[in-house]
Amino acid sequence: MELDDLKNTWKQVTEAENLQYEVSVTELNRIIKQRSSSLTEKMLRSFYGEIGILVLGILAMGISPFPWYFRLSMVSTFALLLIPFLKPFARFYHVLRNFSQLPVEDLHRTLHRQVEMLRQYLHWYRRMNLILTPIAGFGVIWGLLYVYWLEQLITKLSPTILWVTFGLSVSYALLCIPFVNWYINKLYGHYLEKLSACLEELEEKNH
Amino acid sequence: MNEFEFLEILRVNQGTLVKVCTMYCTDIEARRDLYQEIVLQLWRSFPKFRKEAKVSTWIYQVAINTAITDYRRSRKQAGHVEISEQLTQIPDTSSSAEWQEKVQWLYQAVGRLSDAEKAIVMLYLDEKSYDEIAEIVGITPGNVRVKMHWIQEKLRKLKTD
Repeated sequence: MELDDLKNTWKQVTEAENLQYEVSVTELNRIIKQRSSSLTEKMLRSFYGEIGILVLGILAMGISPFPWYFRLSMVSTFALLLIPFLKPFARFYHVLRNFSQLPVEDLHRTLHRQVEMLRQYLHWYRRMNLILTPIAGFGVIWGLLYVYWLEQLITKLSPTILWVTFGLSVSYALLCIPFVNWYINKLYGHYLEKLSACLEELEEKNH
Repeated sequence: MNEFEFLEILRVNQGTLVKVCTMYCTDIEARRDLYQEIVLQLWRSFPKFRKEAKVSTWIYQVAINTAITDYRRSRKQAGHVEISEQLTQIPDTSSSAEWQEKVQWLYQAVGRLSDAEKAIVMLYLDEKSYDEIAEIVGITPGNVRVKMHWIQEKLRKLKTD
């Protein structure tokens, strides 16, 4: 019987492995202080990082070497654009904060919650990135044009230059769509697939 | 929170954590990482642990949930199996070659199982009842029985191949 064969080997293997692990109070304190590798905590850290980058970006706009009216209009435009994202941001935060408090529950329920949370998160994350990445790119491209014009590297803003800049901005925005999809899929796609497959397997009744 | 109480629970149930790490990770470093992550998650869920629940069930639930949903593990490609030094020196009635063959077969069999199947097999090898397996995994005892049947078929096929 294959499983009975395995039982004995398994017992001996795990007993031997057991000798390598021991947790003392010092070790426990070290483990408690270290970062968790769970996805929700990684997402929460990314979330804080992105908020930080956003704040830094706004500050950089405020102290950039442009005339005050240009800086003011940049900051206020960006702040206005952010208003519709405040609610999803708060929602994100709520979902992640609640999830990171790991409850004691069975595997099926844990997988179900994690898959649902991840799908919800990816839905909003993709949507936000598809809007904010082109906006940031537009700002950089038109800002550069403005700097070149200010520094007189471009003496005249001819229709050709404006059309080329506009073409570049649109191309960039269009390229953002496959890039954002690829990036998000690379980050979490495989993981989501793996968890979904495991959940489906548990939900199969006869196999 | 009582660190000493937690450490005592951990000491008594350390075997469970090691079993989960051995089942889900092929290399030694990954096993250590997973072990620490499980200890961390157990520590965090310790205040919510209801004393009337079985300690072993709580530990298995947290350990299996952590192993299967571990993001870092999912990013790593499964490589060759690293067998720790202790395993090569196991005092066993069989010869060294026989022992190596047994260990090889164990890892080969485990490698063919899905994450959910690994959880079920591990609990079965630990002599848990179908009801207990069902409680930890979150499916019905009947479903556990069906899945065990399929796992046995899979292992039988692997041995004959």
